[in-house]
Amino acid sequence: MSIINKRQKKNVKGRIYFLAFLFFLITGFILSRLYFLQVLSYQTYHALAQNQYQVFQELLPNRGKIFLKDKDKLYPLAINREYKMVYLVPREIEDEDKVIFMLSSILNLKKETIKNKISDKNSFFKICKHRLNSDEIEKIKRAKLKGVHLMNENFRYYPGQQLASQVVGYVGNKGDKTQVGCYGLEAYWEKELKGKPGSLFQEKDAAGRWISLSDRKIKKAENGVNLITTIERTIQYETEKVLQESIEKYQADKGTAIVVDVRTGKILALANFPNFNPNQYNQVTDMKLFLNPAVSEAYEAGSVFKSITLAIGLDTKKISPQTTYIDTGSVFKSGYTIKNSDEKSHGKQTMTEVLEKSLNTGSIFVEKLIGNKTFLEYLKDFGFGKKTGIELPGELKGNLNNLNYLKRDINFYTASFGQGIAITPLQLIMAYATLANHGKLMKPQIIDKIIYPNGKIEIIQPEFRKQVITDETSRLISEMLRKVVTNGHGKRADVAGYLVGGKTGTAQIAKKNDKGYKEDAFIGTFVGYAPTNDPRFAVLVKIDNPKNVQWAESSAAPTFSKIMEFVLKYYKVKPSLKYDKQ
Amino acid sequence: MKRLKKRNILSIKSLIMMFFVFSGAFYLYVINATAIQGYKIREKENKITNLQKENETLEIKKAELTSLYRIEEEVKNKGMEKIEEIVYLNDKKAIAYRK
Repeated sequence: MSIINKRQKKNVKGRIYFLAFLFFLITGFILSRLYFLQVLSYQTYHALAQNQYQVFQELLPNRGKIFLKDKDKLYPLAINREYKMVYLVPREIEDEDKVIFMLSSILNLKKETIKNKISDKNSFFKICKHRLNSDEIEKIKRAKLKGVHLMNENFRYYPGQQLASQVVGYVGNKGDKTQVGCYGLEAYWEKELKGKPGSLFQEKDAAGRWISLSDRKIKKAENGVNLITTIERTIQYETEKVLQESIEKYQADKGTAIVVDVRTGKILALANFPNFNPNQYNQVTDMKLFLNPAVSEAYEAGSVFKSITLAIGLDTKKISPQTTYIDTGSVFKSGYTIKNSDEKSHGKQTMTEVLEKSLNTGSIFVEKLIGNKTFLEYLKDFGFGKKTGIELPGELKGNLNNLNYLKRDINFYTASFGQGIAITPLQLIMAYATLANHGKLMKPQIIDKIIYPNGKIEIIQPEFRKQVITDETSRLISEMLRKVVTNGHGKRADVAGYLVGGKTGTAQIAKKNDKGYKEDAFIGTFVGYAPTNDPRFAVLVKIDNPKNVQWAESSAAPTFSKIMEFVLKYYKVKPSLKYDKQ
Repeated sequence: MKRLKKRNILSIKSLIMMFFVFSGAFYLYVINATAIQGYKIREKENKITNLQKENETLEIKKAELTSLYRIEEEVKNKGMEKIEEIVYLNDKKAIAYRK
């Protein structure tokens, strides 16, 4: 019995030892694993755990980008750039004096400002400065100040600087809203560009920390759409440069230049000067600089309008290019005397000569033949008196109110040569594009494509609006406009080797708070297109109040020529004429 | 017989206990491995995000460097001039030039 008991005891002890060994083995395994994870791999998992904040980044949408065309590539006009900002957690700060001293010298801030932020102990989060440069970031990292932290934030950035600034606008603060589109495409397309924020449902433990392994329901943010404009980067830049040179040369107040593809209505360039740098919008003192005069300013265009009047006359078969009238130098109506700009009488003149010599009496002659009602209907068909619908904010519809009274002939007489009615530069160039495009009015287009976050691409097709005049009228008026450039006031608008047609306009500027016009102040305009036998591009140049020249043929016309030459050569349009290169 | 039965019961109990011990250990291992894999996936995702950010930074740098206004400024700073006329030399004719 005792032998058996001894054996049993031995067996039991053996099993206990075995179990104990197993227990220690497993425990040892667990402990060594814990040591590996929590000591040896501490840095790795600490960093990973810290990245829980990255969940927030999945919840904040990225603002859509805006691009210019650059031949077959794209150039980013408006993008998002990551900057670092520095913030304080006041309750974490131990050595306040050190923090105040260090931050004020690194960030170039007043000590008082930092002190006020630190003193607010109830606050969890006090921003010190946005958009730190690399030097400031490096110094703050090296300083290792407790309670001072760096964080990433996105800001809008415009790498092209002032390129197409009034087209793109900027992202800034508007009222109580921060980071919203202001002016330009940023404002017009704000809803599509900003995207939609996401949402997060995550379990937390008793201490309020997220439980990593628990269920997480996350609805990712929807990023904004990307916009590709119709604007060609190189043409935009060259147009802006030429315009700026002209404004400075002629000591003008400001100017506008537009380039349009007449077949599609696509805007290839839309330049204004002066302009601004959207990266430094807060340094602009004159708010009017943010407006886009091409769409947001209506003016009395003057003699450039004669082309429209004569086109209407041709289309209604009231005149032909060879129709003649007797120019007595003035027209008297309703107590007003309207004279030619040169104050001369020219005798028997053809309709072509009316445009060549820019005779006010000639355009009145044509308008009388057309009749007030028909004239007004055609103006509306050309798009005057209403918005073009271009996707830019602040567009004006112009003003044809003076023509509401059909019986008031004097208003129609002056309207025939572009005075007494107000139009925008965009309306004017689209009307000329209609003359060039076989009589077809197109909608001006500034967005070429929209790229959605899911990869879908929406191509915006050119929109045909109306057949305003016939193809034959378009051909006749184009020939007449060519004569203006070869024989008339538009000689300086010509481009060697190409058939360029267009019209000058030197208009008086209406007084803002009084009746009548300003003394010795004019707006010079030249609008035209080329090649007239197969039109491709229309260009408008408007120079406001040049000081050292008076007439548009001396200011707007040569500017037009430079821009048109560049555009024709850029697109490798074959010259229509043989010419000697001097 | 009784002793044999007792021995059998004890073996079964030991087996069951060992089963639970190993199951527990295995469960711990699996949970651990899953958590580690999760973190590794996150690490890869972070790497992708960082590379995307680096790509975006380079795109911005490229856009800045190719900004036409910036190039124009550089041209002015370096005192470069616009070429007005290019004259091509005809290599079929004799050309004399100063050294």
